[in-house]
Amino acid sequence: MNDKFLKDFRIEPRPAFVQDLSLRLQIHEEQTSLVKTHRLRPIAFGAITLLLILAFMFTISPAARAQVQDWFSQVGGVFFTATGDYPGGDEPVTIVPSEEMSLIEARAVLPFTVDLPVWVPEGYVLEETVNILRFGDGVERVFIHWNAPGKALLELKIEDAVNSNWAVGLGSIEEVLINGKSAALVRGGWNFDKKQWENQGQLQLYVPHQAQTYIFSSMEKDISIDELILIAESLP
Amino acid sequence: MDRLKRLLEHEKVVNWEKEFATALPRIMNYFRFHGVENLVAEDLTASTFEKAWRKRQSYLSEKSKVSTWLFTIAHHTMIDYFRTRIKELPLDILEDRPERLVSNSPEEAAQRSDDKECLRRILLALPERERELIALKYGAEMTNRAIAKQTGLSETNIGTILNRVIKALHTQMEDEK
Repeated sequence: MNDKFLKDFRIEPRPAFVQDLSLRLQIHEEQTSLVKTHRLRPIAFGAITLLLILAFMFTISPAARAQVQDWFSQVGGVFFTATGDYPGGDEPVTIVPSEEMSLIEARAVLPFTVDLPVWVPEGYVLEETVNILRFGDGVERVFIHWNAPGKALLELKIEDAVNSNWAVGLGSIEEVLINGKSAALVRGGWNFDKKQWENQGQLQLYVPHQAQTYIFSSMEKDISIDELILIAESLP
Repeated sequence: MDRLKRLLEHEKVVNWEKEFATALPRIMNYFRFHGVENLVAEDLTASTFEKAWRKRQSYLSEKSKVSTWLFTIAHHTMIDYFRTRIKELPLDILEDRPERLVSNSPEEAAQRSDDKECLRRILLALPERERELIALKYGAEMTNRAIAKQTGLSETNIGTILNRVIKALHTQMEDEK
């Protein structure tokens, strides 16, 4: 059987495509690492943070103390711990299983209202299913995605809490305005393979909305900061 | 709790980076053998891997191999793609010019005159089941036994269909020249 013409039809993927895909998958990796971080209950994490601050205040100089206080910040009503280390430490990683369901089903089972932005950049289409994570302390998080051909994913993560303490890289937070109100823009994320914070173009916008925190994530090469802000501003 | 244990166990065992690197060329070629152009095949491949990456927690190693799981996702991605494209185009266009289902970038327009472009169009015009078998055999580089497991057809049946389709493709290619 002469099938050489079929074997000849195969090609190797372009290196640029492989590299781009690898970059696109990193945003998911970074988001997974944040899920792992938040196995620490937000309240317990807040208490540990407070204890650390108090310990530092008693033991180090006023100048250093001022700097330390900068690392624990609140931007747009959202709490952050900026760190150069992985806050999860060396403890074993646990993957929290998620539940997949339609948006309608999710809206029916979640104890809070899920609002969606009215505007997203052209070409982005809402995925039919969403994922829900439930933590032992009652905190729930829903993940909603929009896809566009050849572009990085747009993700909306809604956490049913406003007092969570989010771990971010040093110097990665800046304040932006959403409809005149303060919100936090975070650049980059935790690279789980290299065990370090780095900025490869990931953007995350933290917006308090109702009694939840809405976090919009994407890659700057496909969705600019201005567009991310417009998306957040189109929340009802 | 058992499920959580299983998830932790496979998270330790599965080397996702290696699995993805091995599957990437095969999945991209699987899409190409469905007759889509190269840039579209890349988009569909990326979409497959993004879905797989997000859903990797739901993968159960005792149920299937990672490659089988990835090709199931690829298969659904391909079905969704064709379903969406068909909705977007008027029926008469589909009947007259099946090749218009795919994108038409300047880069790929340059390919049209060569044999590969000719084969791509012929593949696109194949019935869905035959195209799927060719894509699994030559794109995904699966054995007839693996294809049998994936599709539910018997190995003998797969061998017979493939033989017939390859002969027909070869004849069509010769006629086009």
